Amino acid sequence: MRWEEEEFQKKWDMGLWRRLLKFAKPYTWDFAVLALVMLCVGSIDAVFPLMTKIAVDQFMTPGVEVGLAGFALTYLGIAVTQALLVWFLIWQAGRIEQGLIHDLRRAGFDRLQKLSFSYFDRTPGGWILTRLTSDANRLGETISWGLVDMIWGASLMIAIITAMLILDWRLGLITLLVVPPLAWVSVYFQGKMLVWYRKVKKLGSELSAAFSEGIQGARSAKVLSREEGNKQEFHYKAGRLRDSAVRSAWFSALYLPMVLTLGSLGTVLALGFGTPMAVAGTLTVGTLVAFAAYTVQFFEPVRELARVLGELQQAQTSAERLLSLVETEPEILDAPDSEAASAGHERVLGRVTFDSVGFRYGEGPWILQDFYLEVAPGTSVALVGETGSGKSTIVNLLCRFYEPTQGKVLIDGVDYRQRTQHWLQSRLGYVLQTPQLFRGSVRDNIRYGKLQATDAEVERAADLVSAMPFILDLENGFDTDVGESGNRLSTGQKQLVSLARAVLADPALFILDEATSSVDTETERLIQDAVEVVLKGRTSFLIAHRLSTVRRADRILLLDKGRILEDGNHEALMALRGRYFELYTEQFLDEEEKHLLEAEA
Amino acid sequence: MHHRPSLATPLLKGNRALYLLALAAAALGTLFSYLPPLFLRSIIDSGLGGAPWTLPAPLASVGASLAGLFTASVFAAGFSFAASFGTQRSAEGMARALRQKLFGHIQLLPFEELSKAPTGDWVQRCTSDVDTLRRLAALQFPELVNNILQAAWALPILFSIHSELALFAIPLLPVVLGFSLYFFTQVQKAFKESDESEGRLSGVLQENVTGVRVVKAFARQEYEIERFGKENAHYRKVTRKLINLFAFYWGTVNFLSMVQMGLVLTAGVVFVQQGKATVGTVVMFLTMTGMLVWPIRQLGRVLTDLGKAKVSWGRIREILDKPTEDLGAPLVPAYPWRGKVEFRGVSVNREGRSLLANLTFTLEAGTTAALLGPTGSGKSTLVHLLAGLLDYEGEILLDGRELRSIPKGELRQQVGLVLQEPYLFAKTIGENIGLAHGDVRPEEIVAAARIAQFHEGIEGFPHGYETLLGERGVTLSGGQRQRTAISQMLLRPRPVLVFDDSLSAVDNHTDAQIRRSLRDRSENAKRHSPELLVGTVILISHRLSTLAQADVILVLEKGRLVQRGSHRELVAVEGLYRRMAELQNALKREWATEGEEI
Repeated sequence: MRWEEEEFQKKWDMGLWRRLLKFAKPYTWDFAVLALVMLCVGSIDAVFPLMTKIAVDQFMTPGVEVGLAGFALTYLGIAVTQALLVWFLIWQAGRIEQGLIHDLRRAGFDRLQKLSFSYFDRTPGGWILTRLTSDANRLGETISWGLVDMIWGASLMIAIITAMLILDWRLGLITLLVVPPLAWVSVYFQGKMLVWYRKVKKLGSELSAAFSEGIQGARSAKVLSREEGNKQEFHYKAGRLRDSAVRSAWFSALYLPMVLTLGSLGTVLALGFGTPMAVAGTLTVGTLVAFAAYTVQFFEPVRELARVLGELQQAQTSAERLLSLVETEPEILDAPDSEAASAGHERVLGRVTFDSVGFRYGEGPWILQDFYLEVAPGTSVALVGETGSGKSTIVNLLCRFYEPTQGKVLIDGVDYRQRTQHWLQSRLGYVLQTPQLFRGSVRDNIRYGKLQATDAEVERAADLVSAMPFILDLENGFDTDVGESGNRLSTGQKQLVSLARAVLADPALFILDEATSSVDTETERLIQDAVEVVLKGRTSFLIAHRLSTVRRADRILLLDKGRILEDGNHEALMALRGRYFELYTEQFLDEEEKHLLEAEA
Repeated sequence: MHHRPSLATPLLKGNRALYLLALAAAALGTLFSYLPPLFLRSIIDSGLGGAPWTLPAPLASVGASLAGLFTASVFAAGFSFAASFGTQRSAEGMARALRQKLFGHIQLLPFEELSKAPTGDWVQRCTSDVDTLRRLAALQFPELVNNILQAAWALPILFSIHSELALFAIPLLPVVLGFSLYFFTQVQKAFKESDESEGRLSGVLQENVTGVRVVKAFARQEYEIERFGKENAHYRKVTRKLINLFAFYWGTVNFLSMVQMGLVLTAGVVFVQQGKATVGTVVMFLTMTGMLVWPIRQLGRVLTDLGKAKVSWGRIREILDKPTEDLGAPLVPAYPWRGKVEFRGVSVNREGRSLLANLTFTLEAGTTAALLGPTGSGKSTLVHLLAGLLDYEGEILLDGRELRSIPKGELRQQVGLVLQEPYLFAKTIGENIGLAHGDVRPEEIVAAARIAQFHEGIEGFPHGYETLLGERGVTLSGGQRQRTAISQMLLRPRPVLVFDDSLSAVDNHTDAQIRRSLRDRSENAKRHSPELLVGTVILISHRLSTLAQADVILVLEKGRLVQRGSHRELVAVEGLYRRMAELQNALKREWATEGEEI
């Protein structure tokens, strides 16, 4: 499965980083300024031991009182400069980081809006969400702060080496002997630490899933007397997480003491070889002190460089996945001349024709084959059939969420591929079985159907579908916040709002994908009436589960495996005594029995 | 929140000794880390400056001092490794114990508690709140201890070596500490703002992705881009504000630290010039001041995190303080269960409402009973009682034994309750069916699935019984889930089988088939071993066809038993049951005429 957590790549993929470069381009100058600042910060960090050296060599002579003011002022000046630089560097790196994250997200989102429906059909929502949240964050962070740490580390390292070699090249070379093992240990351990960190994170999210299952499934576990078994399985998972975490802790706990020991080995080398030189007078005491300080300071840039290299390598996974989204090409594209062809055809009558349509997903089995259907303007068509009979496919083709593999779909006698997607879709009304609302007020949600609608129009639409009473009952009426995905409203209320939205859009073609979930009888009656309002005078397709809805349709198509078995209105199909009759009698009785029980409650 | 050692003890078991040892190692490590600067001082002053060695005799040479310096560093490193690994290891052990404790506790919570459990919130408590505590034990608390120890070791050393210079080594430390504390409490608001903004941003994204049909059908792509753009820009704005606060913090605090170092250096120079201090002493002071001042900058963060840990612990306690139920041990010797159910004046009241009132009836072993009643009449409450999921007043007897005296685990083995909305686990479908029993043979699973009319359905899945369910596998429809749950209960014979409207999502036809094969099975069983198990079946249904075939129908209204009898008896008297029967007849007549009209 493509959305599985992939193991990160070992190799460097330069092509990938080049593709990413276009996102960094607007920040070229910002990066340049940041790099310059980091160069200064790194170098200044190497200056402090030199200041100590100067103090020791020039001022620390007992009995000689030389003016200290100049030295102290210089020191203060360096401190102020460094403080300002640090402040600026964080400000600037944050600016670049957040800018990059913002741009990456925007590019991803823009692309999502262009992608065809099929993409959403096969890509889990959670996968998309992670790309535009944590992957975008990680990339922005790694690129901006990675650069900061890299340039800081490199410049500090170079500055220290330069200072050592200038102060005394022989002692410098001897002391620098510890650098190769230091670098090796750093690269090795930082790599290990990252690998284990990722492993722990992955096991951690598995454990979250186990908790979620354990909480939701506890009632079922109880009736199955399965508590003990669940516990055992959980103990195993918790144990695995703990073991990996301990392994991870092993490497991270080991790393710092190891480099510190290497650092103090450097100190011993510097002092061991430096002290005789100082005694002999070929080296000043201050220089020796500076060397001792540098050996302690050295491990930090090495550690940062090793860490950044590891992180960049890991960020490749994020980059790959995010870029794969940004660079996905939509499967359905508007024909080159469709813009012109669509102009002047704003009115749609609503004649729908499926002309010898065949459809399948990729190389999969045919879902529709040689499918003919002609629907006169203003007709309501109910599609009835089991799961897999082709109901949803017909609707998806009609909406041009998918295009036919063979044959064509004509709207008002014209193949819709000659027009733009926007031409068709801006004339559609769509009400979903699980009504989908958006964060915002009730008013915003209804207005989604027609953005330029006045308040009066919005209210009229609500009134038409009898949503007024419940809306006015809400705490702030039309301005009530419906919460994320409209979840503060009940299912029935959401249904009414989504119907009002469709009414306001005044579509030429209307699609209703009806709910199987039960709402109470009163709400159901309201919804039925509202549906009736929307259907009036429009070509409509209903994927119906409630037979009361089906009965109202002008035409009922009973589908089975992509074929129309029965076609006619309710009376005609009942008279046939065929599949429809069977289905109707069975299911309708079921519904009526439920209603009776509800009416009693 | 009061202290209860009963809970903390098992969590610490096996981890406490290691943790304390690790903290002791931290103390030693810190102490050893202060030795190298002392050796450095001697080397500079005595080895180079010719002053008399202040170190004890064996160390009184440059070579010996260097060896001492290196040895001390190695010890410091070793202890610091032991401290870091030890605290982390024991913290991971505690976290594991806490997680297991939480999971086990939740598994044993009463049914009613679980019915109202907010999953997302509890998962949060079991994961991120536990993690907050883990980080406290693994990192923050040791860091705090380390900081305190550093000061505790360093100050006496500094003051004993040169008390005047020591006065110059500390003035800015409290300033840095105070500033750090102030900053990290203040910055919480900016953190929250950024988190909330990110939450809204993913909310919009989530809505857009789940609502893709609506977006496309209304051609609202431009509008969505604008909506997302707004949130995206807002997030950038508030997060940059947060980063800029940190820029100010680190700039300031670095400045203060550098000034502190400068102060020691300058004062040191003056003291050396006046002959009051040696060069070695000043260098040693510089090194030690550096070791003191850098960690203090993080102390504010550590202390604010301690506050968060307290909140997390409270949230975890809320779950652990909920009383659990005791499953008990199976009865020994085995009790001869047959399935006779007796209710004697049973009432259930919740929050001032009567769910069941004074229910009395008897179902002989082997009866098939159907429950009928409007929504909220107490049907589900009644069947939940039987599985020992709820408390009640009055008496319920299973084969003459009061339910309360039967261990809950044993009871639930006898009473197989099929829930209306069963939860299936992320395992294969075969494993799900066999979940209630440890040793299940594949034939048994197939046999159970056959009775539940699901065998062919399962064979149609890509991997048959090996098909994985859940997010990474196949999602079952409501009817398929119900049939899986029925199979679970049919795997082994049970004296009482209860269907809590658990055929509501399968069609009439399948419903009838399932009941027919159930009847066949129990008749088979009766013929072969009549003395063993008879099997009582209780089902809730709204379908007349189901109800009519039951031996006895119990009609509930508002928690009371208003009618009982067979189909024949109940159609003869006015009531809910007759109205249902009439409805069916009326509809049948209507269809007959509708057909003829054309």
